[in-house]
Amino acid sequence: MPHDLKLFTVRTACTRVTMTALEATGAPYETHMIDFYSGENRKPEYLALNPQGKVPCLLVDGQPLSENLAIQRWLHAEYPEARLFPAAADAMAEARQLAVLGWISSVWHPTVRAIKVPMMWSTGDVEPVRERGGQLFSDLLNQLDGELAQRRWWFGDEWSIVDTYFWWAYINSEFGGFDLSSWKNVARHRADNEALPQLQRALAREEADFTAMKARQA
Amino acid sequence: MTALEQCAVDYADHPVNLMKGEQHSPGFRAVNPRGKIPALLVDGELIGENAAIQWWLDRAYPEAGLLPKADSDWEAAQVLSDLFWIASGWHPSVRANMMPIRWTTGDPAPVRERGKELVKPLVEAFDARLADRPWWYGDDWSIVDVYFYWNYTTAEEGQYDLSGLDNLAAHRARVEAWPAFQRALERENAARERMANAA
Repeated sequence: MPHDLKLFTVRTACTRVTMTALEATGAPYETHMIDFYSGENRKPEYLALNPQGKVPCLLVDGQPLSENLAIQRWLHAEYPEARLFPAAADAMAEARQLAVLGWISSVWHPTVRAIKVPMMWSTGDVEPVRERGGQLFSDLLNQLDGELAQRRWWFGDEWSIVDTYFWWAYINSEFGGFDLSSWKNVARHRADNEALPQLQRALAREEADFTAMKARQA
Repeated sequence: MTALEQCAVDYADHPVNLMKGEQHSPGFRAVNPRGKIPALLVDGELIGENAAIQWWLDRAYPEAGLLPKADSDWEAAQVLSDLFWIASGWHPSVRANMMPIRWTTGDPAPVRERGKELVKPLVEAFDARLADRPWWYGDDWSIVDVYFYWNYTTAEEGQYDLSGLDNLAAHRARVEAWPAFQRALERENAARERMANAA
């Protein structure tokens, strides 16, 4: 049964990953871009859907699901042909996929935040936060680069949504002024991601949504 | 550990001395290349990340009731959403509050201050939800209750004042009376003593 899907997004946020996942499924979906800077995520209409005021939030037949990772797993269960994740032989294999996702969402994401929006982690001087973020992020990139030296994508020969989740994290560090040039396998992984039609479609859609949001506000 | 105790399964435990940076030692990185705890070895195979471990234990030991029964992929996704919300929303905020040095090379005070701002709406929303129910999901305990408990008590260790949050206080007392939680604490204390004696 086809679902009525609507995704709330923020420009350049990790909703890019969710959109890429939706694009990979081929299912039609609506998007609504939220203007974080004007506090739209704190408005009662939005909080009624998502009490944490967070993005991404996917409405499925009117019911909200939040957390990128949970949305990706649900899409994977619902649209297995999109191959968002490799086939898991058992619960152990599935748990290990969840662990990678959890690592990105609970470690990579907050670390990128320290680099890109250090004021999220401090009421004072942001430079020492950004510097600390850079130290932590270098260690993460060393780990990713080492894994990618052994194979093209995180799980092997085939892309999975985890790859685009990593991509989102490291390109956002670059938005925060972090220099990625020392990590050669990451650079190659980036180029591979940016050649993906599902990612390109997601980015084009994000840009169109941004233009529409600006027009709505004008 | 509370999850393992709740599953009533035999397990070995090895405390890692974070103060000494043991998590980054070659020995531990050979176990978990991410250099993180918790790390659960199942027949020698690693699962990392607390939320992923809890999810797996629930699958492997369904009778322990770690997570609510999900009758559909949708319900299962909602539970995952909660688990990973705690891991990615609560935990890093609590860390800013409890261990602000983790997020800065400079003065930790403004990071702790920001941590308190981030923790505030989380614990307030938690308190509000617990107004009409004993546990996060309703009448039944689940492991997420202990995960929340760890977060708010750790915020308190970072000098976050939890007073006035009466539903949270009642939840805290319920978690502390939970037998599997008490067994986990005893075991943790025993492990800490062993580590101190070995040092």
